[in-house]
Amino acid sequence: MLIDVRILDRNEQLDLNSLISIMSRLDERCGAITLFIGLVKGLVEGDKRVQELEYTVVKDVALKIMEKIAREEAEKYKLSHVIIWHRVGLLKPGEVTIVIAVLAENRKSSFAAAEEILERVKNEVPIFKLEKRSDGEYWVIGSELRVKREK
Amino acid sequence: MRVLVKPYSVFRDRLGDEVILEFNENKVMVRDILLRLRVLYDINSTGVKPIVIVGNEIVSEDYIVEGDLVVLYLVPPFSGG
Repeated sequence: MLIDVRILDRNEQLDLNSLISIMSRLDERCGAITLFIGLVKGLVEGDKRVQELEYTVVKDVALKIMEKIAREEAEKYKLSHVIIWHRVGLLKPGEVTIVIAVLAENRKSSFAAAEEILERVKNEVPIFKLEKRSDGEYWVIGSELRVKREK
Repeated sequence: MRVLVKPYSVFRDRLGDEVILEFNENKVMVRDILLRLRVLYDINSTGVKPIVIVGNEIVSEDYIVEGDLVVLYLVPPFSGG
C-alpha cells in the first residue's frame, strides 16, 4: 500500500498526467483509478464573485490526520495507492485546490473510497478558507457558514 | 504554567498571530482556557464555536493540559477541500 499526502503551495506544480501514468502501472490486480480534482469557485452564494480564495492550515496536524485518513481508507477499501494533495495559500478561481486519487481493484471501491476520503478531509483536517470577494472578505466556517471579516 | 494559543481563521482576526496565557497552576482545563479567552478577547462575539487542538488531537473542554508550556490551536470548524 502506498500513501502520498502533501500540503502544497500554489507555486508547486501538479503533474496529473504523470500521476495517472505512474498509478496505472503500480498494481496489476487493480482495475480502477478514481481521480477527484477540486477547484476554486468563481461564484458563490448566487452571484457573489470570488477574486481569490486563501487557504491556511495547521500543517503538522493536517499532515498527520491526512495520513491517518489515507491509511484507514486504504485498509477499508483494499486500495493499493492513495494520494491526498491539498494546496494552500492564495488561489484564483479555476485553480486546483485538492487532488484525491485512489487505485483500487474495481470501480465500486474506487468511487466509494475517493468520495469518503474527500468528505473526511473536509470534516477532519484543520484547513480554513478565506473568500476574497467583490462584496468583502468572508471566513468560511465549516461547509456552509460565512462570517464577514472585521477590518 | 504558560499556554501558547495559536489562533486560525476568524479567531486570528480577534487574537492576532499568537497569545501566551499564564496560569498559576501546573495543569489547567481547556474550559478554563476558553473562559480566559472569552473574557480577554471576546471570542464569543465571533458567533463561531471554537475547536481546540492539543498535540495533534481535537480535545474537549474537559481535557486537562499540563506542563511548563503547552501549545494549543484555537480553530473554527474546518473548511478544506
